[in-house]
Amino acid sequence: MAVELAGYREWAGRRRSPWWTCWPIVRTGLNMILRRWIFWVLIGLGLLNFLFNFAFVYLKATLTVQSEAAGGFLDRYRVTGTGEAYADFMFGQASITALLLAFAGSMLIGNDYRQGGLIYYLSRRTERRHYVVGKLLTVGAVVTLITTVPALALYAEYGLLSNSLDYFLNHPRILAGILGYGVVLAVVQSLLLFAIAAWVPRTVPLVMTWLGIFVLLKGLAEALRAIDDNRHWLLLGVWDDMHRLGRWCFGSLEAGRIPTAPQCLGVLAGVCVICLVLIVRRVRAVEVVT
Amino acid sequence: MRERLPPVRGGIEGGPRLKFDRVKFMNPNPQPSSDLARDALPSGRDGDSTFGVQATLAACGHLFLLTIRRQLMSRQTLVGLALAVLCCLIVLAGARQPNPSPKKLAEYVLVPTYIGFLMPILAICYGASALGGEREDRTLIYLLITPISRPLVYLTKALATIGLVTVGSGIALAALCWLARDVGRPTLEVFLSASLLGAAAYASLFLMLGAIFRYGTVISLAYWFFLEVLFGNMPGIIKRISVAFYVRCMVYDAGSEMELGPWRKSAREMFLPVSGRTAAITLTCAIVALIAVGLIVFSRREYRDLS
Repeated sequence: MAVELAGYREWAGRRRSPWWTCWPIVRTGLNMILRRWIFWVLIGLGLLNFLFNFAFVYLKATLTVQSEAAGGFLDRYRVTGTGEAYADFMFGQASITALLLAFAGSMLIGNDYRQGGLIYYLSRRTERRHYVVGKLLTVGAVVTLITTVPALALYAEYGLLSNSLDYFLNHPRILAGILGYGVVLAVVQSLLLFAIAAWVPRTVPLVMTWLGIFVLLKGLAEALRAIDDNRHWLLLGVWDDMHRLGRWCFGSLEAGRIPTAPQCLGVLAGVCVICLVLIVRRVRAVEVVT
Repeated sequence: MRERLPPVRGGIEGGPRLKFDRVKFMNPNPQPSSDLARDALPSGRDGDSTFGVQATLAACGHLFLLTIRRQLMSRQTLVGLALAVLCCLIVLAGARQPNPSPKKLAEYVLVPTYIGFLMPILAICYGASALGGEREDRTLIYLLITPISRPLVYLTKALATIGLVTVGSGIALAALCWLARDVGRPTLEVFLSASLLGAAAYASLFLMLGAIFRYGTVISLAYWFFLEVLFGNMPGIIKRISVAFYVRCMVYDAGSEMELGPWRKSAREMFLPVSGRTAAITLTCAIVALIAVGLIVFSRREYRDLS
C-alpha cells in the first residue's frame, strides 16, 4: 500500500528552526505548574511582600506630592523608590521563589526522570540542548514572574504616581538594576535547580538539597569568616553572592568591599558551569545501567 | 516453619515494584493451602482471636520495620547525611573562632543551624514522606488493602517516623556537640531533651500534613518557612504558634546558668518566653493532638489519587 493511502504526506509548510521546540516545553511546563492550587497559594504568599511595598510606594508618592519632606522621611525605611529598596524587595521575593522552585523543580524536571517524560521528549525531533533550554526558560519564567515583574510594577507605579515622568528619566540605573538582578536570579536559580532536580528527582531529597545549598552554605560562610575575619569566605554563600551582584546592578554595592562584584560574578559563573556539566551528563535518552 | 514463597517481583505496569511475598506475609488472616502452612500458624487454631491479635501485631511490626527500612534506605537519607556534614563543618568552624564558649556555640551555631534548620528539615524528610512518599510512589493502595485497620496503619507509621526523626536528630546533635569538644559537652545536656521533644513534635506535625494534603511535603515546607522562620522571629506572641519557639524556650530554660537567650538585646526583650516546663507540656500535648488529628483524618479520608 502506498504511503499516501495510509494518510502520510510530506509536510508542505515552511520549516522553522528547531529552537522553536523550546516554546511548547515552556508552555507545557508553565501550564503544568499554574493549574496546581498549591502553586497559587505560594504565589499569593509571595505577593504579600509586593502588596506591602505597593502600599508604601503609593503612600510615599501621595505624601511627596503634598510635601517633599514627608516623602523623604519614608526613604529612611528603604521601602520606596531607591535602588537599595528594589534590591531588598527582589531579595525578599527571591527567598519565596526558592521555596516555590523546590516544588516546581520536582514537577518540571524530576517528574520527567521518574515518569519517562525525558525519553518522550528526546524521542521526538527535540535535541538535548532544546530540552535543556526549554526547561531552563520555564524555571526562569517562574523566577521572573515572582521577582522581576513585581519589581517592574513597583517601578512603574512610583514613576507614574510622581508629579512628572522625570523619575523614569532620572533613574535609568534602577530599571537596568531590576533587569540585571532579574537575569542573575533567573539564570543562576534555573541552572542550579535543573542540576539538582536532574540528579535528585524526588521531591523530598530535592527540597532538602535545594534548601541546604541556600541556608547552610551561608551559615558555613559566616562561620568561616568569623575565624580570622577573612571576608573572602563569604563567597561560599551563593544566595548572598546573587544579592551582592544584584546590588551592584543597582549601583548600591559598596565599592572595594570584599567580596567585590567581579568576585561574586566569578563564583556564580563557576557554579553555572558546574551545573551545566551536571545537566549535560544527566540529560540522556537512554540510561545505561551497569 | 513458615511457608515462604520465592520473591516475585512485579507490579502494575509503569508502577512501583513490590515483593508479593511480603504482602502475603503481612496478611493476618491467611488461608493456608497445605499442612505445612497450617503448622506455621502461631497457635495452630484458625479464626482464634488470640491469633488475630498476634497476627495484627506481627503485621504492624513488619509495617514498622518496612517503614523504617524504606525511609532509611533512600536518597533522602544520603542528602540528610550531607546536610548533617555541612552542619558539622559549621560547628567545627564555630569551635575554631576566637574565645569559644558553650554560650556562643549554642546561640550562634546550634540554635540557628540545628534547631532552626536541621531538625525541621529532618522531620520533613521523614515525616512528610512517610505517607506522602507512599502516595507519590502509588504504593499507598497496597498499604490500604491489607487487613490492618487504618488507625493502626497510621499509628505504626507515626511510631516509626517519630522514632526515626527523634533518633536521627539526637545522633546529629550528639555529633555536633562532640565535634565542638569541650564547649560541646555542656551544650549537649542543655539541648538534648528539648531537641528530642521538638523532633517528635515536628515529625507528628509533618506526618499529619502528609496525611491531609496531597502535596504534604510542599505544605510542610511552606509551614516551616512562613510559620517557623518568619513568624518565629517576629516580635510579640505570634511566635507561640511555632514549634521552634517552645524548643527554644526549653533550651533557654535548661541553659539559664549559661544565660542562654536570643542573640541581640532587642530580640531578648521581645522574645517573651514561657517556662521550660510549660513548653515541654505544650509540646507533649501538641504531639498527642497532632497524632490524634492525623489518625482521624487518615481513617476517614478517601484517597482518590491512589492509582
